[in-house]
Amino acid sequence: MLKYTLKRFIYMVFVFAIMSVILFGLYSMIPGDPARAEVEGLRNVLKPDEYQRAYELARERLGLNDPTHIRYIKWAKGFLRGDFGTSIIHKQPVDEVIKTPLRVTIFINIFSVIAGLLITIPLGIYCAVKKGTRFDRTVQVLTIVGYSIPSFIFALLFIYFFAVKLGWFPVSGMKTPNFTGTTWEMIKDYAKHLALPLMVMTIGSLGGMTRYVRAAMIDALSMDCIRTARAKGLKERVVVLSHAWRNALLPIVTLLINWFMSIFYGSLIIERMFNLNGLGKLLIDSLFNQDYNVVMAIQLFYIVIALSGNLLADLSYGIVDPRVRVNK
Amino acid sequence: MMKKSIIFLLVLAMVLSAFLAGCQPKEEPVDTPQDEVTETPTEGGGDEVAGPPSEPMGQIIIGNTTELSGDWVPYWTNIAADYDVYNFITGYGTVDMTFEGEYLINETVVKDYTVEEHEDGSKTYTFTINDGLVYSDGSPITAKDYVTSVLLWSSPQVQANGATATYGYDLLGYDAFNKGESKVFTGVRLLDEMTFSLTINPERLPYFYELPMVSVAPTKLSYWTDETVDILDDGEGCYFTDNFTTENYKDRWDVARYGTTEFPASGPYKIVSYDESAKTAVLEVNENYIGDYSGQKPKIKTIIYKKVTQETALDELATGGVDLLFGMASGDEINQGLDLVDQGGFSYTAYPRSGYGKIAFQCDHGPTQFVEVRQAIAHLLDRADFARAFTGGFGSVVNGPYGESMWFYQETKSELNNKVNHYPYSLEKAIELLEKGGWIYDANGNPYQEGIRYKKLDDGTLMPLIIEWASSEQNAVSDLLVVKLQENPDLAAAGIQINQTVMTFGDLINYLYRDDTQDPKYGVPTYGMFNLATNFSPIYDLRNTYTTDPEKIKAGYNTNFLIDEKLEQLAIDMVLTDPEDREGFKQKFVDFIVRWNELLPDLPLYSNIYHDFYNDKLQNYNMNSLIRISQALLYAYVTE
Repeated sequence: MLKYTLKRFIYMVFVFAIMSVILFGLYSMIPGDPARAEVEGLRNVLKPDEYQRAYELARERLGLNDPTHIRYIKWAKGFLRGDFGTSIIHKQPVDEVIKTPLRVTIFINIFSVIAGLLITIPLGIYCAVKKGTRFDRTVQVLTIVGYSIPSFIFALLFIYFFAVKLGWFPVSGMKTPNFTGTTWEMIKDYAKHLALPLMVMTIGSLGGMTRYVRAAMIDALSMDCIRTARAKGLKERVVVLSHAWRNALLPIVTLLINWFMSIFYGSLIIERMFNLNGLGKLLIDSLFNQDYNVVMAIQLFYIVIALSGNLLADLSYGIVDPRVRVNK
Repeated sequence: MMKKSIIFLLVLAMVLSAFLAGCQPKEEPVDTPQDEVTETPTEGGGDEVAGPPSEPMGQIIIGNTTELSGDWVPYWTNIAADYDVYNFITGYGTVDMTFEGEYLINETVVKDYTVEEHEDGSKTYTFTINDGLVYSDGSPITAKDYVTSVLLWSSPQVQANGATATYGYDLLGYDAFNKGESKVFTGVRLLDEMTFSLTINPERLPYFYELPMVSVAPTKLSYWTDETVDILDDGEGCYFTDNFTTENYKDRWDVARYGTTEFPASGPYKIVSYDESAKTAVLEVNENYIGDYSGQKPKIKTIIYKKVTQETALDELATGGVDLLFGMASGDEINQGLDLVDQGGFSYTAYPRSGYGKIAFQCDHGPTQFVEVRQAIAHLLDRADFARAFTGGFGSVVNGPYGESMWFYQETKSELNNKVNHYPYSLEKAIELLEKGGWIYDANGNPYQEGIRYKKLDDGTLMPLIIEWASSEQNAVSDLLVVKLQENPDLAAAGIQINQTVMTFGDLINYLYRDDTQDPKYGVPTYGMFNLATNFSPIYDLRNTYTTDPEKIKAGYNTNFLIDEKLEQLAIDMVLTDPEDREGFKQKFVDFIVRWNELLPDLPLYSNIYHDFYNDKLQNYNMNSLIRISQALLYAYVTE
């Protein structure tokens, strides 16, 4: 197990390094000049020679005069020291720029993922057990509809009904500006602001997982061991939750782990519609602004999360199903 | 088991909180000031109901689609929202600007001033400031705070930290000081505790906008450094003590620029808090502020600057999430806002943009180098229709490089309208111009019958009337231009073909500037027209925009590549006018616009009518595109 983990870790480092080279190379090829973008406002203020000097200083400071491979080596050295560079838009170290959006994203996603799992797993199991009933068919239709409708449609609908028409929740934001009150009042204020985005995120994620769980459970319930368990006279509850669920877990464990890892991923649509300062929005804004130090840091962070998720999923197979060995 | 319990409790808490919040729709946060919404529908600036209050009161939440970064001072960043906040917390400049964009000495700050002209052509302004000016933290403002601004924000030390150090650019001795060749800034003198002088570099004079060159606001030196740094003057000019280095204060600047409660405000408001996660800044009245040039003090107690999403901005206004949305330009948004106004409880102010969307021609290659071609295109685009379609009816067409709120345009409007060509839609006129310009051949050099026109050049070769157009991706103006111009049957009937190339904005800019340092292909003149937009500042100086100096053109000025000495001279004449000679400036402005309108380096497409929508509680709100939101709200108040 340890040997396997070590091998996978070395593989992850290799993939990470390759990806960093590819991403850095790609972003270097995109047309655009961050130094000029920085000093453009001075063009009509300064004399041409002064403007040129300001431009050259900016290029020097941003390290744009070096060839791409030298810039990559400099960037990689900094990265290994924990220095992800400076954001050309925010004029701050990248880790400072990312800190708050990452916190916001994790904070929102934790609730959304937990709520999603609490709904989808019991619902999927119940639909599998009650396969073919009116309830099952209704859930199948609703999950297909939910799965097919983009989350921004849900967001707009929810904002219209719950915020504009009913006035139950604010349209956007994380808390009331300039709010003062007791801790309990602040928690209520947070809850009031986050209720709509959480509802949209949760509903948007129900369809897929519910159907996966249902399908896995239907397969598991048709296994011989389940028939044996029933023949032994075990209670149906024990058959479903203990025997069938254990067998159904293997195909959906990857999904479950990826779902948990998605806590770190930003959601562009939700963050934009509800005006939440999260990682997804920061990534898109940085891409538009050609702020590639920020983009690189976020994307490499996502790569680490994805690689770690895969490793965790592989390791978890062995835990969920002892027949699977992961020490080779 | 324990994990299950924790997860269960977390979810339960979330669901219960959401339920509690959702079931109490009318509950408002306990200590958040809430303003009553008046029921009387008003339009166009809000009716004055009860007059301004004697003391600041109430709260206004400003919604802006541009988000704050918390980096308030403009020297490290260009984000407009941060600059708005900066303008709320910065004031007491020696020079102020009226709502019409005219500059004047701020007599609230300046007790006395003298102007001395020197033999070398330089000019010294000596200011004595009033006693009793203080920052929001109570510390006194003296002459040293004014010279601090010039020295600090011109210094090579802050420049080495990535700041733009051009504050004293127009003053004598800037070059040597900024480049680190001299530690003394010779054009800045600290004469006594309340008196300082600024000497304008003779190379910058005469200049119509002379006053902004000596516009200086105070900066508290100890906030940006510490108590050990000082500014001295031994009779030759001001300089920092030797311990002022980038290494010593770099970390300090990186903190100070994000300052909130500790930021020493000299403007009408001070920062109370900034929430990075919500991108929201809360400002409160600076009680130590004694007013702008007219003595106007703020009447609104709290101003909150909040990020909103474009798609739901008007929903925010309707539900009380914000009280004011400014600078709305899209027709859909404006119509939605006007619906809100019709329903009651909201008002709006409309004002023309100081700028326009345009087709920019490059006038040194291809068919667009010929003025008749540019004029013919102008006749083949129904600009009124284009502006109507693009702005949803909330836009106008201008015929020159000006904003409709500029004072010199306002005062010469009728004369200009008589003198300029409005380029009405006319296929016949377009054909007449092209024939006059020599576009009378077909591809074989025979007299033109149909298809694409050709012109015989001096070397005998034939040039086809095919215009290469560079347009940026995902651009609504480009999409509309395709329909209204490129695919207009009359364009083909006139014998013109326009080829569109869609590219990234970065690519487009490289082609526009012909920046071959990025790639040799950009250095080759390729595209004859670009669709862009331009905005004008209150300092109307277009000398560099239409320069004929080859060095300047190479450096990226005059992206029209229009070499017309008369136009350049008219642009120079305007800004060389004596600052007192308003009539002379206006006449030169008219001459410049007439010449420009004839040469047509750009074809203005639309100039938006901006709309600001706000809650009826906001009164006396008068906005235009020359001033900033801080100035408009300084004169406004709220009714409770």
